[in-house]
Amino acid sequence: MTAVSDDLDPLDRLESAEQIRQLVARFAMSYDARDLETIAGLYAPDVRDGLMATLLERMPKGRTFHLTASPVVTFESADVARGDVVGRSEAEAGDKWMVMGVRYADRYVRIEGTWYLHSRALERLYSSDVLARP
Amino acid sequence: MSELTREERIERLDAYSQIRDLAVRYAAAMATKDRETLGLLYVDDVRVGGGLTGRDALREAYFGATLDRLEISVLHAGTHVIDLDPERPDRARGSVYTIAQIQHGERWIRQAICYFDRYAKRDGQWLFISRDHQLFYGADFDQPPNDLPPANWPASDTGTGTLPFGWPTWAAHAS
Repeated sequence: MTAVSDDLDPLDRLESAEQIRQLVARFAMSYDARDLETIAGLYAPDVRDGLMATLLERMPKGRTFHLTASPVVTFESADVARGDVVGRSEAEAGDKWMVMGVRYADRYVRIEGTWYLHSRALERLYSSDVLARP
Repeated sequence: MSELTREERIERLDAYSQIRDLAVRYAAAMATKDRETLGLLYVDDVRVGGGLTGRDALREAYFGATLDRLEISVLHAGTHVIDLDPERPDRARGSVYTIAQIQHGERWIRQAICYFDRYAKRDGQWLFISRDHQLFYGADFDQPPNDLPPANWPASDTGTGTLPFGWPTWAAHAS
């Protein structure tokens, strides 16, 4: 689940991993709720405006449902971590209903005790209409 | 965080861990139709509605009716947001996405659900105070969820649910 970095305090690492799990879950749910204020607060302040602009540009009109698994978190230092998140997302697209297997390669940073999402690269493992075979 | 003692920090981590497990235990107990366990996941004075309280009333009034109308039911708990109450260390709230696969005779139905939960810690154990089941959609195996009539769950297991429409942020964004 969480890679061991010998030089980190185990309790601090557990708290960080938990905060990151919450960050990933909150992001998915806030996206489905179109709760832009909450989403913006999850992005690191230095990249927030740019990432929000991209997010809004790509945000679909229809319903979405993002089921995410618990992220695999690897710490680069006490305040920087990478995440590997596998999920299943659904999106209403006109008269189609798309189902996607997705994987996010994330980077998180901790600023003044709070973990933020700093970047996310999306990889689609498949994308298919719900009635079709991927 | 820094003002918390080491003991308090560990207690918070224990809370997240136990609460996450609750949602998974619920899913497993629903799949195995284990009413005994389902009752034990709730506080002993759980409010059931109609003036009834307690685990036995919950087992009978709610889980009895729900489990009787399902044949196979497989629940998969996913995305789980947990908010510990900053004022009360023995209270928390959470939202849990769950995908359900349900058999009704010849029918095979899938549902996308969000449970809005309240939790309490009693004698060191985190338990449900309540679970509010809200449906995104329920659809037959060969049916796209796009334009279904309202499900009015639990009246129907298939149909359009209350989410995401019920989220105020969704309504504001869509308008």
